[in-house]
Amino acid sequence: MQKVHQGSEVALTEIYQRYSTPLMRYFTRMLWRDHQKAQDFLHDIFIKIIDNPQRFDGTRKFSTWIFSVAHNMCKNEYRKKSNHERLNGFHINGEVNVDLHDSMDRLTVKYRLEKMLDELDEEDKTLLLLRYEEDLSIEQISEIVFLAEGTIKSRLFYLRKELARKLNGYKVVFNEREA
Amino acid sequence: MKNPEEINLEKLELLVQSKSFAELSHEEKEWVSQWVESGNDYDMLRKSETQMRQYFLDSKVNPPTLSTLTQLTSHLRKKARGQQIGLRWQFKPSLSAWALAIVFGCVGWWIGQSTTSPVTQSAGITSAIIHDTIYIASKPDTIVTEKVIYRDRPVILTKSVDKDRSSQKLSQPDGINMKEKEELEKLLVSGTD
Repeated sequence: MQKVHQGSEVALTEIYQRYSTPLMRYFTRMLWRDHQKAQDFLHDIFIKIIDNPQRFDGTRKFSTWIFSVAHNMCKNEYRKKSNHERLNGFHINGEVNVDLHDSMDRLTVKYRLEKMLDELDEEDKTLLLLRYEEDLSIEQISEIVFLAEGTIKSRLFYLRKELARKLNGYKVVFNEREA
Repeated sequence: MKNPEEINLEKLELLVQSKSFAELSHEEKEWVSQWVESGNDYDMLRKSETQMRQYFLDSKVNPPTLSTLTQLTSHLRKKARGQQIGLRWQFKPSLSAWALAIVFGCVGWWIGQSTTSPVTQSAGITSAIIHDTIYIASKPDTIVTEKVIYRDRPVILTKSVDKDRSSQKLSQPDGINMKEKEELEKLLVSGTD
C-alpha cells in the first residue's frame, strides 16, 4: 500500500492481480449478477485505494480490509435500491413468494440458488459468499462485517438450514426444540 | 437447545463435506446429533452443501476487464505527477528561505566579527574607540497658563487721500512751542511755581 501511495504502478498491478478476481466475483454476486455494475464497483474500490491510501488500517490484514470496503459499498447500494423500491412502491420479499418456491421443483438448482441469493438481505448474502465462495474463516468474516464470531456462526447455521429447505423442498429439523 | 453461537461450524462443515451420516463414527454421530435432529436431516444438509459449492464452481463470474487496470494505472500516474508538482511548489519557497537565512547569517556573523576588536593599531597611530555618551534630552512640557484672546476691532477706513492727511494731522499729538518751553525751563530751575 505504501508503494501504491508512492506511485508504484508495479505495486498497483500486483494488488489488482491478486484481488480483482475475488472482488469481481463478490460484486457480481452481491449486485444481482449485474456485470457492468460489478465492473464499476471494482474500478471505484481501486480508485479509493489510490486516492485515499491513508484510510488503510495497517493493523488489519489487507484482504479483510479491502473486503470490508467492498461490503460497505454494497451496503450503500442495497440501501439506495431499497429507497428506490420504496419510493416506487415495488419490493421483492422472499416470504411473499412462497407459492413460487413450491413451483420451483421443476427448476434447476442453479436457478433456485440464484433466486435464494437474490432474496437474501445484504449481510446474509455477504456471509454466505465470503464463507462458501471465498472460503474465508469465521474470524476473517468477523473483521470484514464487524460482527461477533458467535453471531456469524449462528447466522450461517440458520442460513444453511434455510438453504437446505429451499434447495430440496425439505424442511431440515435441527435439534433446537423451539420454545 | 444448544446455542448455535457455540457451534463449531468448521467441524460441522468438514464432516458434512466429507462423510455421509452412515460414514460417521459413533462419537461423530453423537456430536452431530447436538445440532441435527436425524441422519436424514444431516444428509440433506450435506446435499445442499454440495449443491451450493458446485453452484459457486460452475457459475463462473466474468473476469475483470483489462481496461480497468489500464485506467487505474493512468489514474495513479496522474496522481503521482500531481504530487510531484505539489512537492516542487512546497520546496521552492522553503529553499529560497533557507538560502536567504544563510546569507543573512553570514552577513551578521561578519558584522559581529568586525565590531568586536576594540583597539586597532596601524603605522604608529593609535586609535581607540571611545564610547560616547549620548544624552537624549527631551523638552519639558509647556503648560500654557495664559491665553491670548484676540478680539475683532472695527476700523474706520477713509476713502479720500486728503481726508487721510487731515485725519493724520488731527490724530498727531500736539507738541510744545518755544514759549511754553521757556516757561517750563524756568520752572525747573526755580523749583517753584
